[in-house]
Amino acid sequence: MQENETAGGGTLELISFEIAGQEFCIDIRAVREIRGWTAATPLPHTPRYILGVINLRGAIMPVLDLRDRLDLGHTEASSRHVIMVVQDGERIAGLLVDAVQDTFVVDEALMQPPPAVESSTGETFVDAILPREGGLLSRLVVANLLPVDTRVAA
Amino acid sequence: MQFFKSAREDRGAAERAADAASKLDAIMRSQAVIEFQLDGTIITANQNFFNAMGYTAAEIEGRHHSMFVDPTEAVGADYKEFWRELNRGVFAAKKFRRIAKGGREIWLQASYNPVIGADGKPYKVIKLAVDITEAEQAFARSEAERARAEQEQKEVVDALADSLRRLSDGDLTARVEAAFNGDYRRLKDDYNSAIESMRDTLNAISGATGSLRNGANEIASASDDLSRRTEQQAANLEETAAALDQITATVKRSAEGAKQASSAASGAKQEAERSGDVVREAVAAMGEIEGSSKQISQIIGVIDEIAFQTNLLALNAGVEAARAGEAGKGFAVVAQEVRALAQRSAEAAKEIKTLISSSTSQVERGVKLVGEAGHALTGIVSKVTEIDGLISEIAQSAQEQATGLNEVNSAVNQMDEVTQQNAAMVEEATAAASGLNTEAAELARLVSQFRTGDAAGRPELADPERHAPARNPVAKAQAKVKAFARAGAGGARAEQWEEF
Repeated sequence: MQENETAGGGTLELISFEIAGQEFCIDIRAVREIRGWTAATPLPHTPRYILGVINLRGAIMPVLDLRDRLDLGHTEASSRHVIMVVQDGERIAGLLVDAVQDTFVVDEALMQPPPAVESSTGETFVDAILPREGGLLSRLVVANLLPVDTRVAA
Repeated sequence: MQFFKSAREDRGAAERAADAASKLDAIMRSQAVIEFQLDGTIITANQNFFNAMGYTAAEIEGRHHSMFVDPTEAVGADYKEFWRELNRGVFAAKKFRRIAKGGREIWLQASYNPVIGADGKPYKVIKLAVDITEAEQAFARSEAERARAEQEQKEVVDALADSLRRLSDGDLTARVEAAFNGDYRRLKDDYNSAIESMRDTLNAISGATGSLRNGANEIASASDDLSRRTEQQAANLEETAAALDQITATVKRSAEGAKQASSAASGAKQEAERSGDVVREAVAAMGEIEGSSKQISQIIGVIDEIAFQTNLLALNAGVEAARAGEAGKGFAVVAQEVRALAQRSAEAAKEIKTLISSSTSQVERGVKLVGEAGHALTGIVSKVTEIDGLISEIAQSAQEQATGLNEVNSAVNQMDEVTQQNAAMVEEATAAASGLNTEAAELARLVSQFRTGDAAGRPELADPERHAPARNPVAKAQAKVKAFARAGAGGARAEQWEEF
């Protein structure tokens, strides 16, 4: 968020994706690359939303089931699922989504803050909501999606 | 006297006198002699005369000959003539009826002999007589008896003749009722008995004739009935023959139908088998379509994968362009274009996939339907085979029916022959009954000519029209039956059942 504000210009470039029939979006600059599903090697004693780790050109990277992370159920991964490799500072991780929709530019003024509601976790996952023709598009906070210990791994 | 004289002329007078005296004695002994005057006055008579007549000499001498004559005869002209003849010297000899003393009748075989004197004239009459009263009376009695018998016989003959005449007229009541005596009575009794016996016999014949006529009527009636029944039988036979004709036609039609059905079933079987081949080919074609669809699906999958990967690459390019900032703007446009192409490829692939999927499911459904059709065709083939078998059985049944019909035809022919024989016999029987009736009527007529005094027993005369011989009623029906039996039976045997 801070980076977005510093970038200035009044516009935001977002990438939208789909999980469980719902559309979400994140800042495109948080994305390192997008790739097809690759089976992850499970890690013991990890939260359920961590599917395991994969080898990304020599770097070991955790893969998260974003659906599970958003508490929307569990994804049965197939070749048509997509892993978005995201970076938050030092941390890097793969987010398993159903499909990547689009990249688009939007006027920053159109973004609206989410209502202050009680959350089951202490962290905020959605920091803004963009109303669009097809419905509301929630922008996720990448830093809060990633697990804390991934920083060490990265 | 002349007789004596002439006889003794040649002998001596004495000898002649003696001879004459002895002859006279013989005469006087054997005959009754009486002498009369020419007027009939009695001169004398001998003892034989007295004995015969019952008088004494005193009682008759001097009296007239007429005292011995029936008073009615004595006054008659014949008696006077008799004496006149004697006076003329005419000899009279015959049987005379005279009345003796007490009016007793006496018959004398007598000769009145006029005695001729020397002058050639009679001067007295000597009567020589023999009493034949007993013989004469016996003769008279016999004569009377004969007359009576004759009378009786005549009466009997008349009575019998009358009865016989009536009998000859047919009157059997002509009994002889007159009282007959002796043998005639037996004759009468026998006659009456005979006529009664005849009457009884005729009554019996009359009764028997009635029975005979009743019997003849019954025979005629029975013959008529038999004739009607024979006619009915012939008509039934005709109907049977007609029904047989229809059955034969029906069986023939059944046989033809079975044949047609058999050929139709055979055709259906061939069609079904050919359809089975078509179905198999269709199934194979469907399989090929299915295979092609699978290949297309695989290719589409590859295209889709490529589109997916292209899309990912374009997205990565977009991400890279965004990270490059202003420098990446042109690249971002290209990446966007590539993404659009990839997405169109993906959509096209998706559509094709949908179509192929639909096509595949349709092909599967087609395969399933064709399989079912093939199964149904197999069922049809087996059913058609069954139908073929059934039709063969029907044809077999038709053959058996044809055999049965032949037997029935032969039976009808036999019945026809029997009916013809019956008809001929009925005709003969009718004619015989008619003849019998005529004869019975004739007999009745003959019997009715006799009067038996039994009105109830008289047979009525038959009406000859009532029992005329029946016309042959079955001939027409026979002709029809015969015509059918020849045309139907022979034709059916020879022509209609060859095909079985």
